[in-house]
Amino acid sequence: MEFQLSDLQRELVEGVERYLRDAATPEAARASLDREPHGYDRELWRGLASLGVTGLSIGEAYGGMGLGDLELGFVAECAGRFLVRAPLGSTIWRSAAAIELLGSEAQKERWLTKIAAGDIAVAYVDVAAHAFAEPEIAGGRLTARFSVVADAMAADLFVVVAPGGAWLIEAEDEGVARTALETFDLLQPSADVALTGATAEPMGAAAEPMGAAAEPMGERDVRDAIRFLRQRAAVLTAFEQVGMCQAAIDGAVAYAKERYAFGRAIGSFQAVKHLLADMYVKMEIARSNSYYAGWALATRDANLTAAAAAAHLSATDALRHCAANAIQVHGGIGFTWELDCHLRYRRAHHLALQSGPARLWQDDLIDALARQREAA
Amino acid sequence: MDFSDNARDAAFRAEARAWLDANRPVELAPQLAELGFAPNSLRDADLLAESRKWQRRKADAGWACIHWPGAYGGRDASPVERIIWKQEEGIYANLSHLFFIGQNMCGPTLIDHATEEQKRRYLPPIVSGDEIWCQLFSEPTAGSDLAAVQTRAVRDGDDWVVNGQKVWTSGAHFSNFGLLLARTDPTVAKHQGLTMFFLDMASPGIDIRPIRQADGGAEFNEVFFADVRIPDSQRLGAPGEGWKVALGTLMNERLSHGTGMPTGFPELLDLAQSDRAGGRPIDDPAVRAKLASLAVRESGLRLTGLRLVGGLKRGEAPGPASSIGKLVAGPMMQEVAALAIEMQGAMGVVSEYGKAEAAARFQTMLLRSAATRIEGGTDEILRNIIAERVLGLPPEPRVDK
Ligand SMILES: Cc1cc2nc3c(=O)[nH]c(=O)nc-3n(C[C@H](O)[C@H](O)[C@H](O)COP(=O)(O)OP(=O)(O)OC[C@H]3O[C@@H](n4cnc5c(N)ncnc54)[C@H](O)[C@@H]3O)c2cc1C
Repeated sequence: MEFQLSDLQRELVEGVERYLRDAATPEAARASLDREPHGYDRELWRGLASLGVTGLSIGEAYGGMGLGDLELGFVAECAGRFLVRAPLGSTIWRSAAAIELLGSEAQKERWLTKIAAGDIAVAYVDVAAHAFAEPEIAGGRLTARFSVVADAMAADLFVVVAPGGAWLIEAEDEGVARTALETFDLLQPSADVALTGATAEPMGAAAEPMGAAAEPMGERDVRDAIRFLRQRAAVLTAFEQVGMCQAAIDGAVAYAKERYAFGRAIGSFQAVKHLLADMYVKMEIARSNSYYAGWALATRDANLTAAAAAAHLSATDALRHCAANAIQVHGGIGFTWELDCHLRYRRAHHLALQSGPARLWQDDLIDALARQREAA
Repeated sequence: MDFSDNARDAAFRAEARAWLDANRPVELAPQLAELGFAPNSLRDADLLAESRKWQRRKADAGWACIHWPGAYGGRDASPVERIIWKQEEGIYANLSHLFFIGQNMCGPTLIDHATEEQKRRYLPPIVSGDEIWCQLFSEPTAGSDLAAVQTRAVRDGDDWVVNGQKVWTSGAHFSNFGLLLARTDPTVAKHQGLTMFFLDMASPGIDIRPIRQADGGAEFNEVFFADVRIPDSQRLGAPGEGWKVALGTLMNERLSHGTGMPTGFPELLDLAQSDRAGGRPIDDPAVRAKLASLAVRESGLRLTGLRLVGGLKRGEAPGPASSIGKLVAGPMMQEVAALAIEMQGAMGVVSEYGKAEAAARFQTMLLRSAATRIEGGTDEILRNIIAERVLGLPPEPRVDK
């Protein structure tokens, strides 16, 4: 057992942190928001690519670094501490892994190299979460309506996964129509996507007969794969949420030290102290759950289902709590557009929805724990 | 970051397991399994005698206080080995409860501040359970505000003479020795006038009176001192350094609380899966949501404990972050107990052993957990510690400093 970050993990995180400190400033995030309200900061994206972040867990054969999901988790946590206006969640937490898991050799060759290089953004559509009606597929053409797809306006490619199959759809296909949505998350925009006979290339492994080759975790089974991808995304998002908690706490603590009222720093008032202490405790509980889930993810541990659910539920709860109370500690100025508090408050509630209803994660968690308890 | 055993861990675990398999008192297992919370009595056996027997057996084989130096009866075990041992000892650790204060608070304080000769004299009997220690810190007017202690120790030749009163002293009635925080200089600021001692609880002039607790038990006591003499050689740290010594003791206490508290969640899950008049509680979505909220705290608490203990270097003292454990566990136990009792319906109010469900553990937990939020630093004090010592917020303006 080892509960510290390895030297490699530490160096990796420090490198990303150094870069983001300069590149992912509040000013940069706001400039990007003004420039491209429905897009992302492309310069930042390329910068992350040159550091290896976009290709971190992509195999070396496709231009990535071939590192594990735990390393990616620590990077996600680091990213959460800054205002990163880039499609990490859609492209890296989700789509890249889907292509790696389900794509054919040629598809991986073609798309993973582009993702690793930071050349494209990929939106991810889990049909169960985004479609009201079953998509129709006929003759390699897909017709469907997907609502609230993150990073869809700026995406170059769509990964669509459903129990019946998985497809790649290029954004410039004429059957693709996108409608930007006004959502409250200003860091990550979303859009509705309508496909009308769009050219849909079946993803490699999914197109092959089920169980053609025995691989661990039933990775050939699309249902299992989708479930795994959902858990993976939730775990990496939990790391990001923990990083956001840290940023919320750091900001609120700094303000509580410098803001004076009644002749003393507001941070010396116990009501404020206790608010901050509770934020810290929730964050640490979420962090521990996330680190364990990151390890379970990276090692494909049998406890992944319970671990991912625990990480998601506790990090979601912690971030909503920290983001709301960071505003509280700031008082009136916390409610201004100018301050960053609201950006985290908004995103906290978007992330809470993005991984699906809490009820499903609660069921996953309790069912898994009940099974374990019965087995013991 | 690796939550699984490496080859060395696995070998250690196998060794621990093999020894436990051959030596643990299996005949007590059913009773110990029921004692998941605040074990203060065994149904059919003498807790003190059984605890001592088990402690001695472990000590003789080098499996007691394993993270202590070998020279004092320990095993020089690493923090990770300490975690593994605890996981493997399981319910048998319930037999260590009476030694908790000596092993987790007084012992580490002796290791840090006693002379070599004293360590060799006093530590091994703590390891073996032959000598039990108590902590004489709190007073009627000094609890959270511990530095306000008034019990006086006055130098007289080679001795100190102690007069005053302590309160809430757990286990004083069966302890051999006590760690005493006393005021030695009333003329200086309150944090500077304190000194730490240890003393024989059989010293003339000590009067111990048990206090009946809210849960009906009597684990803690009032202790009165009338001209009790303590040799100066039993001073720990310099005169006036008592506050610093005490903070070290309390930090060790917080770490051991924070990493080892049974929250009752696994047993709650069992209860939730039982068939009841209205069906299985676990099938009720409202119950599931509450269970999930408790489950993430249970795992978060356990994993935070692993990170805190496992992250220490060998022999390193715990930091203020270890305050998290009890702060989460205390209120959580009250929630667990309340939810369990609700599941039990009208019968939930029955606390009689043999009639109450689940060996009355949830009724016991309901009553005892109110104290968890007070002993060893109240929830509010722990929040202050996190805010000031972890987050670095300014202290409150104080009139007493
Ligand atoms: C079961 C049990 C066993 C114990 N065993 C021992 C033992 O073995 N040895 C020993 O020395 N002591 C022992 N104690 C005593 C324990 O350490 C004290 O009870 C505890 O520190 C609180 O002190 P107090 O009781 O004086 O409460 P007070 O300090 O009077 O606190 C009363 C209330 O005021 C709040 N409060 C006080 N100060 C502040 C502040 N600065 N900011 C915010 N809120 C504040 C508290 O949080 C609490 O809610 C034990 C207590 C219990 C319940």
